[in-house]
Amino acid sequence: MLSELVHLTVTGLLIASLLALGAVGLSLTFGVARFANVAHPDFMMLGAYTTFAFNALLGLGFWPSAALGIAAALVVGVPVARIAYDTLPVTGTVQLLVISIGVSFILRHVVLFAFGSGLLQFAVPLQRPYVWGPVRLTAYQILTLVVAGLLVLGVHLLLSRTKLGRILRAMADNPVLCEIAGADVGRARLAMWTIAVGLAATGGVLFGLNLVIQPNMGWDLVIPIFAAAILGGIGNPYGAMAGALVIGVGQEWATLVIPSMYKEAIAFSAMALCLMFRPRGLWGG
Amino acid sequence: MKITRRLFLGTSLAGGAAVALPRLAGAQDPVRIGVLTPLTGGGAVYGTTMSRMYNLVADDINRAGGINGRRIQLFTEDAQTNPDAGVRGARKLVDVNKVHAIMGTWSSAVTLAVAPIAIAAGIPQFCVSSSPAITTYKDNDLLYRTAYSQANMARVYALTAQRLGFKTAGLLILNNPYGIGLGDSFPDAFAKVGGKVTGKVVYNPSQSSYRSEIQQALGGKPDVVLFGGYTPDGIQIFKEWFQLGLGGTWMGPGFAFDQKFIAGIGGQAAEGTIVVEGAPNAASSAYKHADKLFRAAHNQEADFFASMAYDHLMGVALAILAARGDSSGDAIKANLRKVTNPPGKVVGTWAEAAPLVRAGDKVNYEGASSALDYDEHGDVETDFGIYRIRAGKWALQQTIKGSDVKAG
Repeated sequence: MLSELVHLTVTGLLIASLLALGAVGLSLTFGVARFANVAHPDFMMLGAYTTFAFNALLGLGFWPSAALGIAAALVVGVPVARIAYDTLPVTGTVQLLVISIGVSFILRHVVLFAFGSGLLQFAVPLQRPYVWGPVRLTAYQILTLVVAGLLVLGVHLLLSRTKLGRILRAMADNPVLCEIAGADVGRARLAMWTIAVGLAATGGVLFGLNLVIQPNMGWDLVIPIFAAAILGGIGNPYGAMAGALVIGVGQEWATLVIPSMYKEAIAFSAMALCLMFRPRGLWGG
Repeated sequence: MKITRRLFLGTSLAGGAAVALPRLAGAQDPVRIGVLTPLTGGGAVYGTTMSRMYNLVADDINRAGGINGRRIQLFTEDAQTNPDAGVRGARKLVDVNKVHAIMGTWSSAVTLAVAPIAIAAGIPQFCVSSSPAITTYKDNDLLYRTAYSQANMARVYALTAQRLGFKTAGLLILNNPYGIGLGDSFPDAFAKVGGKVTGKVVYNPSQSSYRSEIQQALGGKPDVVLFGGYTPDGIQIFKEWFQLGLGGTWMGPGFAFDQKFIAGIGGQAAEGTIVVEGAPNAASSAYKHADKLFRAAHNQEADFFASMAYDHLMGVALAILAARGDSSGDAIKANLRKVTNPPGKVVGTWAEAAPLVRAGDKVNYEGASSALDYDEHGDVETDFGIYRIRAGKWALQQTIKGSDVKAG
């Protein structure tokens, strides 16, 4: 029983680390830009496919491919986000939400056109795990946990210790006041999209390293990533980290008592309960 | 141009000939066969093989003078492993090409979508799909299947496990009618041969990770895990299973552990996996001839699907021959079982069968894919092969007789 619990926790942490890289960026952009960017998980898909292109199609090693892939995802993703969300002459939350659905469709179908609908894998060898009692992790899985942890810590330091972080937090509180006070709102938004797309693309690369990729992977991740962000109190990046942990680990623990085909329902019940009793989310003030 | 008497006479003669020629050829009107296999999509590998075999059989019969002097003409449409495309293809074959039979529908969804069109046109349809619904379909005796039905698969897996000496089995199955159906019927079938199911795990499609499901399925340390899913989930599950390093042996259907699966997961992770698939009727003269034709043209052995294609067209051609060249749906229907089912002299090739049928003798066509004895539902009894993946290829270990499956 205990060893099973440990195993499920490890599995949950792996899933949580991938969800967190998406959910933190989603929460950040929701807090500052004030709309739900449905296309956000598709930036993960984008990062996975650009890396796949360098790695499996051009035959580069994994590390250079990952670096080039994330860079390519930024080169494509940031301008897309800037044009679609910052420069189009619309402001309403609902309009931006609908635009983001369109962006999601466009990204997915461009990838579908270029790479086809099949399952793809990076050209990296399958690894056997290191075994410590009930804990079984491959080198890539350890890398995933470490990178996700470091990036989330990095976002925390950026928001709490830098001037950019202060501006972003101020924009989330009151954008008009922030602009009147002389902050360069345009540059801050550019930085925000760069962070969000960069985190998502890194998450996508780690996803592809451990699992298999397909053009719908972003769409399949929309619900768990939004759930993590909402559970944490949407707009709050710290909450998103906690939300990812609760969703990731919670749904694995749930399999101890219910058939695993219902595990997603348990995670969402937790979210629903949280919203009933704490509508601002776990971390909401 | 000035119309002279001579020119008038000349063009009239030519025109008259053009009108008369098809009449002269009336007796030689080709037998039009619609080939509706998937050339793209999930079934592309199988559909392409089958389409090639139809062409080889048609050439073989045409070289020998055709059916009562009538050539076989094939019209090929791509069913795309998609019911919409299948229906469009079938409509074109029926309305434009006026085919006398449709052959080769692969996925059950396509077969069941096309069936109403064939039935309305009164022409027979031959499929290789495995849905149990095809057995009981109200088809006016026009829908025939040369493959096995999923209804028998639980028994086949149970026999496979028994033959390989496995006493316990875990189940990892997809949450859809096929997976759940297998999950419901396998435990009883396995118990009948003395086996015990240690656990059943149902998974949902398009999950990001199947790590905990795999761990659960292997939890009771079963001798073998039965996989009831498809190629894409199989690749992802095997990748995570390999990375968990838990060991264990897998067993599953040929359509999940196909070449795409082996290429996707790599030979190392797939090694030793048990594959259960219909097996050709290798001892028959029909199979030997089909294999010879296929090897000569494509340098490849004729697999179960190629064998089924051979049997579809041979059965229809012999039925038309027995009907003295009448290729109507009613004539094929009335004569098909007369040439394929016992009693009669056992035959397997056109060269063996045609002279006897022409002479009015009773023949029993023994097919390349099975004995090809169509029952009252249009189903046949197939044998099964137990394969293991060795160095990235299926290697045949044992054969399960169709009669053993039925005995359950």
